[in-house]
Amino acid sequence: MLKPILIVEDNPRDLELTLSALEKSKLANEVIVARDGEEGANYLFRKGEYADRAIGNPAVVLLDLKLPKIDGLELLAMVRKSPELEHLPVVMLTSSREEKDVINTYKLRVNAYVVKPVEFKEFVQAIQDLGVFWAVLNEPPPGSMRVLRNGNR
Amino acid sequence: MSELDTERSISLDTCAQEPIHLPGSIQPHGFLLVLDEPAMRVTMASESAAAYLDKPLHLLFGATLTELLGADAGLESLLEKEVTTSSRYFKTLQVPAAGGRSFEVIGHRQGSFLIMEFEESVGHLDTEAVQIEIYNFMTELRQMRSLGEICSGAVTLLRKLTGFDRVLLYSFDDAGHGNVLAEDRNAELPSYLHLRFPSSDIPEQARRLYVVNRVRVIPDVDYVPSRILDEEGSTPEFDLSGSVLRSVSPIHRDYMRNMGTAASMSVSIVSSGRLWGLVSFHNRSPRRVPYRLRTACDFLVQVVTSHIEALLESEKLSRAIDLTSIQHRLLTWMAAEDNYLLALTSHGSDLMALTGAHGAAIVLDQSCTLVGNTPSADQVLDFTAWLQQSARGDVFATSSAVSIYPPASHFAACASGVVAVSISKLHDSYVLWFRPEVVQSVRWAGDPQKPVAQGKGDLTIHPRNSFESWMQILRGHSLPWLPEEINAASAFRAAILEVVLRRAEEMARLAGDLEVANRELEAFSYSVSHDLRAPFRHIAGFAELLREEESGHLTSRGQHYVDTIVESARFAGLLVDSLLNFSRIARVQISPTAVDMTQLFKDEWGDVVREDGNQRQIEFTAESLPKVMGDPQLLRQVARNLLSNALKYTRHQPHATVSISATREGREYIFSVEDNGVGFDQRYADKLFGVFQRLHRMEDFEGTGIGLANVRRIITRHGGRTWAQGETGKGAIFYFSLPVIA
Repeated sequence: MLKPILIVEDNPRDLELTLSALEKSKLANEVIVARDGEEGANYLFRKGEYADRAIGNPAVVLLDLKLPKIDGLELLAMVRKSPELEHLPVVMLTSSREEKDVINTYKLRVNAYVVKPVEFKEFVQAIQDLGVFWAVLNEPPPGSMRVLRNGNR
Repeated sequence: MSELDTERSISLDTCAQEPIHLPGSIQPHGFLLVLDEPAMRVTMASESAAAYLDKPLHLLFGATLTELLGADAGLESLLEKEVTTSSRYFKTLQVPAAGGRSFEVIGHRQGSFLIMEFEESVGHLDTEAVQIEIYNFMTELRQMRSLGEICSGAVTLLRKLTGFDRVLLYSFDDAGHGNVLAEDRNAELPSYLHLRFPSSDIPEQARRLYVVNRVRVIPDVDYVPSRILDEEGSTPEFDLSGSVLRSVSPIHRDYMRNMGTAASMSVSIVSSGRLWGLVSFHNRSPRRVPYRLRTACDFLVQVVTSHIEALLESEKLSRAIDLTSIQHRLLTWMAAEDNYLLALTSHGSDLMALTGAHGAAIVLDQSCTLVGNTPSADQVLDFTAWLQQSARGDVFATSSAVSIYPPASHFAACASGVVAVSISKLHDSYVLWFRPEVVQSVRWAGDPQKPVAQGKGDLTIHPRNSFESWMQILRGHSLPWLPEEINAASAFRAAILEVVLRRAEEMARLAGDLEVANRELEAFSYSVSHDLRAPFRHIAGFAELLREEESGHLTSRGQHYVDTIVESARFAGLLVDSLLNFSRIARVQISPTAVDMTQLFKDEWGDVVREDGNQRQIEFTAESLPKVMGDPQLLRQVARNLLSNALKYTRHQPHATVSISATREGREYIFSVEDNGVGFDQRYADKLFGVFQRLHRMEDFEGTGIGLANVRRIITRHGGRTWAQGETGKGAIFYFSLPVIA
């Protein structure tokens, strides 16, 4: 079974563009959408509305930087502190090219930092590349798989 | 001059030690009796008492005044009145025992003794005339506004009243040096006006004596001193400070003879308990002055003293007001000028007036600006370097620079006196004031240098020798700086520091404001980067989706609109990104490394040509450019912007040339990027480097118009300059400079 892609994005238009880009890429992976950092955290840590979801981590998280409630950097920090999720592939997908943001994100051991291109063709290309790379080519970290298989914790 | 002027000439050591208040004798124009309290009987007497009273001296001892002078003398009852340590006049007494001669009776207390002096009365004194003269003078005094006027008025009247051949009034400065301020005389004696003499002429104990006993008189220089004896026939050590008949030093009598004066008198000018000056009376022949006339003179001098005090006080006050307003003016000018210290030199006369100086200098970080009469700039700089090195404090004042700084001998004439205030702890920064050597600044009336006829005897004891001696002592000295002048310098220093501090605070506030503005700008560009780019992305994205998915429903015009929307959104995004990059250049940390400019330009040229994709023949040269220190990423942007411009604007040239060269000029390299493209109008040369400034229409030459603004910003941050030269249709040369690697 293909592992899902988690998109954490608050802007509906960006979300729509991202989803159409993914659609164009014809990836078979399920796409899960969280509209703020808290929802993203609930999904990842199986809390709140996602308390009952099936065990398993997404293939990749496409994370926006500026998010309501819990922002992208905070969520990334939570992920990296958690023993189950610390190796989870996270791609920062953002509008900001600010050096400060890039550095802070890399300090939290992000797997990739992608600036959303203004031009749609480039944007579609970027999203497709990301999807193909992380959901298909990349071998996910084994640690999370073991957790998945053992079913404990 | 005074009776003690001479003591310098004999021996300065003995002079300071001579017990001048214990002469053991009196002058013979009267007699002296010492009564022992409470018995009120004579225990000591002057030899002259025996002569005047026509009685052997031993018969005087143990007698009462009544026994000696007769019952009707009435002195006992007078003595019941309080007798104090300062002498008091009792009465004029006719003494039958002295052949009916009259005496002025004066007494004062000395421990448990009463000292009674009987000065033989002389001539007739028209007290009423004296009173009128004094009264009239006091009326005139009220109109007098200057020290000179008061002093010469006083000596004229005093000579008129006393009939002396010459009357001098002189003052002592703070250092005790004397200066003859006023003189009235007849042809009998020469002029001493404006003579000066050193403080050592009047030793300290003499000054004290003159304060206590204001009037001294020597009617005949050739008098035979009359010893004071007690019952045993010996001369006790007896303090005659308060005596009017006190005998003077024999040396002083030599001095008087050398001056050609047989009689003299002096009256002290005492201000606030200090000997401010003296009035000296001289006569060629012996001369008696009635006691009461001397008293009148003393009274007159005291009145004059109080006028002088008031005048000096008001001068001091008005000077203080002047100084305050001068200081205020200087500070106003300073506040108005950017270079606030140099503002002072354009108002040099006020700067000098602040301390009563004849010259001033401002030393700022090894550069020196001079005003008025001063040493050379190099001498001033050497001096301030010495000041700094010897840590002389914030306010330094000397009236004899040469005595502490030997090289000052080279500029003693113009700057024996120096006041220096330090106005920066970090740098050698000073304001200095100079005063000339005093012997240069003294103005002469008459010619004191003119030799006088040499008389007999030892003429080392003479006022003119005093003058010579004073000149020797004051070689290398300026007039002393008054406390209020040093205070003015000190207050001025504080005010300058305040201005400096206020400037620093202003700068700090500005820097603070700038920092806030910078942070706001950063926040702004951050939000531009994140928030403004998003809607452009959305416009571009949805327009693109529209074109892809719905183009079948659009007319060709509708498709054109969509194309325009897509293109505009793309360009808007490009502008935002350019602007972001521009603001980042200002904030980014520069990490300088050695950059080979030849390599850099060649690399960038390759990239630019590849991106251009336009197959043209372009002649490109970039040879032997120097290495510079700089941020390679930023310098790369410079090269890229300049080269892509050159490429863009030579687009229509069949034979395009782009050449990079560099020359060294002093401490910088000048790089030039020259092309033979469309050029530009030189009038707009400076506009080129502005943000979003374009000199061509968009459809002719595309671009955001920010490239050269980036170039200027990057070069400025590297400590260089940018400029351009061009002519429409004849190509352009863009220049930038970078510092030569040290």
